[in-house]
Amino acid sequence: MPTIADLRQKVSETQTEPAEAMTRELLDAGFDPMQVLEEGIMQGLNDVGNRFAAKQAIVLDLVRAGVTAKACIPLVEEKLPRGKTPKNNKKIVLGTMLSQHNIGKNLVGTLLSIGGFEVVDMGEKNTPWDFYETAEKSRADMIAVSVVFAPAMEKFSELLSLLEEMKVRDKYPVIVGGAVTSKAWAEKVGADGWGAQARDGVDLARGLLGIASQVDPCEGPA
Amino acid sequence: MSRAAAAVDTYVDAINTKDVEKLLALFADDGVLLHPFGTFTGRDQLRQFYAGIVMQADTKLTVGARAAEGDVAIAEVTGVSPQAPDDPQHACDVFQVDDAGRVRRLAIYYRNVAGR
Repeated sequence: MPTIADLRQKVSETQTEPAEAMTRELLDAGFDPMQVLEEGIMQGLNDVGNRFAAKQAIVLDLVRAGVTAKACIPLVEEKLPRGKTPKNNKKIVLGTMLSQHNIGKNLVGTLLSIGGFEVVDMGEKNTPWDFYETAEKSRADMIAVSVVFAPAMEKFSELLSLLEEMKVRDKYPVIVGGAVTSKAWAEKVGADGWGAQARDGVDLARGLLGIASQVDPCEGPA
Repeated sequence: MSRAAAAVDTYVDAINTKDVEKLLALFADDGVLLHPFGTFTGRDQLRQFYAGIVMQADTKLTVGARAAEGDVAIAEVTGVSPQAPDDPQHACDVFQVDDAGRVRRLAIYYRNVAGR
């Protein structure tokens, strides 16, 4: 029987088919889907990112790790407790700033939906103006931004400035997360919240929008 | 320009424009890519690798030093992906072409990655 550490290793080695099979095996054996996701798949993905940062991997390793993770994540999503949390009438605009990466963003979107939020998924490669415009048009309650590479960090700051300039900064709590971000950076630029993991997005949204927790999408198997 | 040298330009252009059909047409039917990720032989494997991995990185290639003689061309290639704009990847690509100028063997060696 494989362990979650074995899955992390397979994802880290970007072995897509074995990782997919192992994810299925762990879930079928009753492992907590969030644990499989965070300690297996996402940690394996982080391992590749860390190797890249240490110049022990190339950009193509990152791409291949993304392919591996994307093969495994839907299996986990199937096991999450959908439909158990009542809708809370809060709308969150969610998107990736500049980059085409969407693994983290998609996970946050899934967990927010399960947590009862309405998610307006803007997809990838967005600009600060896209976030502002979508939030206004959709009458959102919050903006959530995925920032996964350095140029997007600057754009995130621009988004906060744009919201100030348009005199809507107080209207939208803005949260951020992603591979290159940190709590210190998020606080420095003035974000209202920072998440290290996908599940943090749900906690942040609940806290910032005053939603009491009813059913936690991260509690365990459905 | 020799056929081998022309293959380098076609290759770089195909990657930069994410034109997988142009790229595959450059290879011989049994063309082989030797890459740190493995050996890919024939159009199906090449398509899977280039369309599924390489072109997903949106990498733009530029060619530095190059030399070509006979059916062989060697090019120093730098790739920059928007996913890591501050970390250019350097490689040495060795092309061997057939009489029609199609690549029958391409070997790619990375410079700045430990163990590759």
